[in-house]
Amino acid sequence: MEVTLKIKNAEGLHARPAGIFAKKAAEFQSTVQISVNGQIKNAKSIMALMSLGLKKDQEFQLVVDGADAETATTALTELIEKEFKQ
Amino acid sequence: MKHPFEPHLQGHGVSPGIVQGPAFVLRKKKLVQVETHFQGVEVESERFRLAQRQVVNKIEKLAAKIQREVGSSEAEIFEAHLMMIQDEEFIGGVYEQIKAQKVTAERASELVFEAQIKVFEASDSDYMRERTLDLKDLQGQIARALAAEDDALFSAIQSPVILVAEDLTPTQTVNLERRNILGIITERGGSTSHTAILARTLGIPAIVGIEGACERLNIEGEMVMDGTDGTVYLLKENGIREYFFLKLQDQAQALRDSNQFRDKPTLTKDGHSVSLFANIGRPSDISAVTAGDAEGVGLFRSEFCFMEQSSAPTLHDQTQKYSEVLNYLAPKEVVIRTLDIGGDKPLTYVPMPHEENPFLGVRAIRFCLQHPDFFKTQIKALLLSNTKGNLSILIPMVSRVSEAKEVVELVHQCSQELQSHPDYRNEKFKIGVMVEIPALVFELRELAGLVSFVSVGTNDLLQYSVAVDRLNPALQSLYSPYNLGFIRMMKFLADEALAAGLGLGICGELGGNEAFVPLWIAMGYQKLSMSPKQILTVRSLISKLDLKLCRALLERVLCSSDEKAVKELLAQFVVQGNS
Repeated sequence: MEVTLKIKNAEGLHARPAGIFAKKAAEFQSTVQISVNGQIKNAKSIMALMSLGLKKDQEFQLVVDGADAETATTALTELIEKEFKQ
Repeated sequence: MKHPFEPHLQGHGVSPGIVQGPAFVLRKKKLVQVETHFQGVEVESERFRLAQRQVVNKIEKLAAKIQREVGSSEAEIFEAHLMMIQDEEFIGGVYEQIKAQKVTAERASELVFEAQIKVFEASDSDYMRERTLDLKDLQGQIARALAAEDDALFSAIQSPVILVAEDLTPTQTVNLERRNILGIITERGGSTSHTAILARTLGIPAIVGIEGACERLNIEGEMVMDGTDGTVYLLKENGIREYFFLKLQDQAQALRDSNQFRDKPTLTKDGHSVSLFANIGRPSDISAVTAGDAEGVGLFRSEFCFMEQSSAPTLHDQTQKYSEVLNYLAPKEVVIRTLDIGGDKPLTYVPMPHEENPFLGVRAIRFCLQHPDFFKTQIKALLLSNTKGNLSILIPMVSRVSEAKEVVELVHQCSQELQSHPDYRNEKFKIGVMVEIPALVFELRELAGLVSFVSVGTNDLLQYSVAVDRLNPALQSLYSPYNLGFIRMMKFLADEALAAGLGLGICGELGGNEAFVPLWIAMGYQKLSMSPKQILTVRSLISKLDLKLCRALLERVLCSSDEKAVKELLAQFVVQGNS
């Protein structure tokens, strides 16, 4: 399952949101990856997420694969769209 | 002076003294090596798991405290730390490194952290580059947790015990002082291992090289160990307890006797004077220097200042440590040996490529000259701390005169660079080299005018002369100072150094070996440096010697037929000298 999302918060996906995102992603069985500019990273890892250095308004693909892919995608999309806004 | 009982166990006595007490066995599975040896994938993985968990607990507590006392936005950074340290890719990466590279938990986490730090550093975001500080912080915490696990082990010791272990790491050994350690018995190690050297400095009797000691001493009840001859006795047998009760009383008496020589000059019966200096490893050892009545410090091993750290000590840190020793002991001379790492003494925070043969590799001055900035920090710290003019700098592992020259130039360059430093006093100091590589013995004359003294590191000089790994227990019998070739070399060395007008001393373990002291005096060694605890005993011994008789002994030793003959000559001489 794949969706395209856009970073909304001003500081980009820095340590704290990356941590929250990774923690959320880790709640699911499915593999969760983020693909941007040809790089694919494990979204369950805060270090991997941080190393992408995603900035405000940057687009990326969320790639989820597994039994609970649908719930995971919904939850994580919600996080990006609604939680990380400041 | 053999004890009239069959010992329960026999090893190599490396630090003299008889003690009685219960055994405390540091279990093999619990025993962890800090810097040096890879102990297998499972052990290293477990060590990392425990360290990681410890750091997580620590940060959780800290985050909660900050949250309570300061507020949640300040606690955020710790929450991020928590997530980083619990990151599955990070943890998985460390386990993977341990497994694939067969490296210690320290090295594996360092590799993973460094790779991640590189990624962050390459980022075009300032924010991300600043996060490398967080990674470095976490890296330090893991390193400290890995090192401190030993501390937890030792805290289990609540009353005086004889510590029995497979082996002890330098970090474990330096932690011993504060504990209730009567004596030390290890399965591995030789007479010049760190355990042995430190045990002697601390005056703790020690025996090494008892195979299966952990198994065989895992018993109830008291035992007696004699660090002089390496024997261990159980107190079950008839008469042993009574016998050792008397022995312990004799020992206390001998200690009182040697105390008569406190505050006295060191002179032979016929008035020949020798200087007795102390070997120390830490600023806290200065109390032992005065307690032992040393005339100065002949060897301050500066690497211990570097080994108790999780990152390179700064100029300020080092200056403080050296000043402590130099100021406290002034006007007594303090010889500080520049960093001697590599070989058996690696550092966690300095990348050192694996070497097939570290004792012949990039160690000591070789390492320092390859890392001039690192080395210059130490030199500058030494010069800055020399506010009373009692500093001598000793350069280890010099193999040729050109190396000594390079160091001398570097020292002068540092002194120049310090001229504008507000704390620099420009006091006089001396530079000397350690003679521990046989080739240098034949270049001593060229050292004249370049440095002012030489100090013989007998441990390594012997090791390199007879080509025996001094830490290999299987070769202990070949690592013998009675080796005739070695003794002749010591004589030639003394002749050459004296002819070149160089100050001449010994700072290796043989300097304080009572059997050899008459030989060193006869050869013309002026300064003997040893564990502080040995000084009064050696001074007492020297007071009973006669220089002419020592010279006669030397003549006979030099033309004896073999090692065995040398050993007998020296043993007889000490007995006669004392009668």
